[in-house]
Amino acid sequence: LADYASLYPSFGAAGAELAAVSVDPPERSAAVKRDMALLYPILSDGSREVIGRWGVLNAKEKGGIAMPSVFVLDHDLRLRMLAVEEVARRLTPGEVLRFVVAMHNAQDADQPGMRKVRPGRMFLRALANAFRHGVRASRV
Amino acid sequence: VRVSRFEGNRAHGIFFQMSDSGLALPQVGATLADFELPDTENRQRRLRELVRGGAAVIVFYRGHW
Repeated sequence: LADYASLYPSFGAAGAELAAVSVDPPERSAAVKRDMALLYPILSDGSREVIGRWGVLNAKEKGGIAMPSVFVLDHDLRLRMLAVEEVARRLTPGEVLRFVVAMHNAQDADQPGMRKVRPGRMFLRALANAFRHGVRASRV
Repeated sequence: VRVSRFEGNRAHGIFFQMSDSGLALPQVGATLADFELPDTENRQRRLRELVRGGAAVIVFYRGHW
């Protein structure tokens, strides 16, 4: 959360709002927000409704908590990027920012959709691991 | 380490997915339903408002529950 805090202005410049979500009640999140001096909102999903609907509920722990994950949605609520920590490696806030900036630039470009985000170091490492250790069949 | 797939350049721009293929995750490229959740001041915040500037980055974290 702190890493995202330092990049918050850059996300804003790329037209993106940031929000953190956990199952913690608002009072608990308020303490986190205050202690870490976060400028972006922290939302509470106490009923696990969104966490469940978006497939990131870890039901095994503490009565159900969110799996650390990042979702990027565009203006039309279309899911543009999704990364769940459990699996591959954690995507750094810097990498998420690069993605959002590329998305932002693609919107302004004459030919939207022709830009390609360059896979980052983490992705390449994950890919190398996939070759080394195999990839579980994708359920698409 | 399991990598499900990478998608670039589909339809209208940039798509990326790095996730466990065993999860019932939404499809990248799909339109998600709006939601409303309370913030730390107990104000209801809608996803639709968060994306108003062009995009929203939603970061789920474990919390202390």
